[in-house]
Amino acid sequence: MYKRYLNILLLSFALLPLCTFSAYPDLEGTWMVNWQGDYIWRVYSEQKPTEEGQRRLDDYDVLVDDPSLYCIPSGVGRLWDEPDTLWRIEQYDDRVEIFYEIFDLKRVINLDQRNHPIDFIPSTTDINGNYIENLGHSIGWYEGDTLFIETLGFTDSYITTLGFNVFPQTEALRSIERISKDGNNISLEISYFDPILMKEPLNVSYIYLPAEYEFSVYGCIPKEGDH
Amino acid sequence: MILRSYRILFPIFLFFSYTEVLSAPDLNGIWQLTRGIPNISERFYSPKNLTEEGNDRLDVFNIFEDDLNPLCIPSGIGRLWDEPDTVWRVDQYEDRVEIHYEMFDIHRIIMLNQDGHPLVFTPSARNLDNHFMPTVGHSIGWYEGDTLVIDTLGASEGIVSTEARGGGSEELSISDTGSVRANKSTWVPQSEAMRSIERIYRDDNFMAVDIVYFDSITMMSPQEVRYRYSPSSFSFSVYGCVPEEVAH
Repeated sequence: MYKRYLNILLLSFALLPLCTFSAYPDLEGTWMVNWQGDYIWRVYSEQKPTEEGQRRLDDYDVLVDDPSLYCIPSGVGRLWDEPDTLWRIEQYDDRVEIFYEIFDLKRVINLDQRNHPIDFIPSTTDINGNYIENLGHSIGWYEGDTLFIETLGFTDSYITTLGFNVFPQTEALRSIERISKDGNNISLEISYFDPILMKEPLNVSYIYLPAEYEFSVYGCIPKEGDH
Repeated sequence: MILRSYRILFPIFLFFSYTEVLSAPDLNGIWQLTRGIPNISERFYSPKNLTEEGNDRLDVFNIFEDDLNPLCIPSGIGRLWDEPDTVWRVDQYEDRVEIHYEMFDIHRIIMLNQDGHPLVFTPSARNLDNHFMPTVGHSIGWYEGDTLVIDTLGASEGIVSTEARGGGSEELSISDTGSVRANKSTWVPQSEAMRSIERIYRDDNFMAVDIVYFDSITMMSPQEVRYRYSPSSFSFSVYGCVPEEVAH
């Protein structure tokens, strides 16, 4: 009897280190929004800009300041806000890779890092291997059924340039993305905080549906990019 | 025979569970900047390389109006480590490290083995009256071998250290016209985007603190600083800072 308990105990100890590898939630798939559907797919919290944030908002000129024309997203929010293209996620033991059809971007998020390197290369590249500095450097980890992504090291730009949700960002911006399954859909919640531009964090939540289309090459041509 | 194996294996498993705690290097002691020891440099600053914005901020910084020292607030983390005339000590716990700086009676709590920094936080350092020190930011830490590593961000804007490198005397100077001016040649401005990584470890009888700062708004390249501290012969005391009476 005593021996049996020992057997179980020892086996538990031996399996414990493996649990962290096998316990992550399955988020894999290709995802989209259906903005013509009757569900609410995106909710932005109220903007609380500082004086500097308001000044930059007032100065924003979509024809001058939006880098989409050069096939570059203005910030992380611009990718998630995109209504007309797909994204997909691939999970590995040591990293997560998120592919955005818009501008053919690939974002590599290393898992279970202690911190961000002090001097880093951006986590996102386009199809030509060009780094996308506006999207900063990301690290990730799992908490229960949720993938957390922490990002910093952004450039002076805009979190998103889409619709009425335009908001600027500085190098002091940090964001935390939380991705989890919501039934058959994907739930994404993002909190942004930039102490230079925001009095309070900006929170955004999204619901994405399983994609009905094949993931394809966007093939963006600079200066012809659409808003 | 099998039973005996278990009796040996089980304690080994238990031991490994606690290894991380047990293996934390012993950094305890009271430390002060090393002075007057041949071949030991108390501190070394790499050449600064500021952006245009960084230079602009430095130009407009007025030590008589903008330095927070008279309010008993360190200008930044560097000001605490640069301090030549007081001591500091570190207390180690399983879940955190607490660094006590005699200067301004600052108490810094660094939680260990965290998953990143919270998005919104209270600063990690406070004074004797429990007032938070926003210029010192938010820190998390972990051990790498014999080294305590501390990652900090979220500091408010200012100057990393308003202490002069040589010991204080050349911090202020008299110009040809007789006006008093600050020697800013070694100062580095910090913005809310600054991050720093401190590495604290024993180096023979000394305590080594190596810091790398990077602020993409004010710096073109990271600023590196190295310190060596000696065991202090003084006991740790209360600084008792009174705002407006403190010297630069």
